[in-house]
Amino acid sequence: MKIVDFVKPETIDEVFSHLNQLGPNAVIIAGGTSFQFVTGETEKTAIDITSLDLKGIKVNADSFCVGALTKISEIQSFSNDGWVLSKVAKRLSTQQIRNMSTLGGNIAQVFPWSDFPTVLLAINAKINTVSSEGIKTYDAVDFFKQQPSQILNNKALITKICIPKVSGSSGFGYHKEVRTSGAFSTLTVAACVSCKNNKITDIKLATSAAIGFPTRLTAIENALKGQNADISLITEIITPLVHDIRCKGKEGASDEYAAHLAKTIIIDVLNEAISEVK
Amino acid sequence: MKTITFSINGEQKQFSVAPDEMLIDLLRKNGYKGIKWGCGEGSCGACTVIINGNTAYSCITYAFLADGKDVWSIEGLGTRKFPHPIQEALVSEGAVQCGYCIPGIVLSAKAMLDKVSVPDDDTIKEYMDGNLCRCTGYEKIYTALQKVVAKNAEEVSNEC
Repeated sequence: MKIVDFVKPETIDEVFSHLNQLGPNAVIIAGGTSFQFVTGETEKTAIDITSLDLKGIKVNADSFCVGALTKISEIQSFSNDGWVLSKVAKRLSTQQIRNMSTLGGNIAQVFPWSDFPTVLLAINAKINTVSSEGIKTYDAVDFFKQQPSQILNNKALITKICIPKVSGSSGFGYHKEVRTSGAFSTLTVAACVSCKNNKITDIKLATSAAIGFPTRLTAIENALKGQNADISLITEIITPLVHDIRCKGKEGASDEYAAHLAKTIIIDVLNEAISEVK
Repeated sequence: MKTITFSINGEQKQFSVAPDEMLIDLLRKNGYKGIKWGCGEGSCGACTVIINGNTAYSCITYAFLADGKDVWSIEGLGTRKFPHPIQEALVSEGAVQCGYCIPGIVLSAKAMLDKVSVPDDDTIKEYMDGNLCRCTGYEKIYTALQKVVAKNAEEVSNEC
């Protein structure tokens, strides 16, 4: 991709006006960290959306509202009861990249460095978009059914992401397996588990990287609902189910190693989530 | 070419930029040669600059994104006669060998200390994880930064 011009709209209406005018020749830029990986000589006009008022984290009664242009480093340093995204942000690449990348950019298209789609699936976040046709809200599970860029289609913008608070009877677990601290994930697992009287009442388990495009592991979720929140029982239940998951080794790892890793990490992440439940 | 305006090392300046020009290229051709070209893909940190108080890789930052911002390069920190305390600590600890990574390391440390004047060990590792050094093995750099942090801690406790 070759940037041949740039514009800096101040409002969302101006963004749509540019998108309508430029059509497929437009490319939206916020953090811009993914552009270096886009090869080819296709000429594009960059629409710099960094002036839009889509930044910051707002605290609501039972959720947080994160503007799409909020930097990963702000997510990393933010702290509040029920906020679980700091531990995810902290593991994303390096400080410079965390300072440059935005949450919206990390989820607008699923790239190998997109750590957040898996987590948003596990905590059932909601993603708001706006287009000239109006505002739409997607459950994470619908938003990540396909490449989100197919939903956005250069006609819609992500405006905010609503992150449920995870506290009290719910716990969160997260693991990103990497070869070096700044490397892309070889396996990411995130889980949100709710318990009552030591029984699992709700569970959302999501993975990506070695297991492919970010997805919920519904077979494991269904098998664990209603079971005792006991890690040896959980291990026994999920072992045959994990065997059915197809894993693809990355960064030199074999498929067999990736499958072993998947089982171990899923158990660790569920254990972490359960241990957080009060 | 289009004209953009931003502050560089505290001085407001206008620059003529090509749409696909990277910030490192714009700044180096305008004399800010302390910004080093390393990996060119946002990994090594030799090209680190501070934009609005946060570090960024200038090798993967389009120059036009700096429009209206406050940018700092190593040329804005200290002089040979009066080095910045971070530079002083690096020299006194013998933490500089070939020196190629040092401008980036100084800027990352400055951005960290401007935000957290007395960071703990984990915070130092977090803020410095985007700067590679192939000479020192990091130990001496780390010791130098701890020395600056200790001095900050002393100042904070004196203020109390």
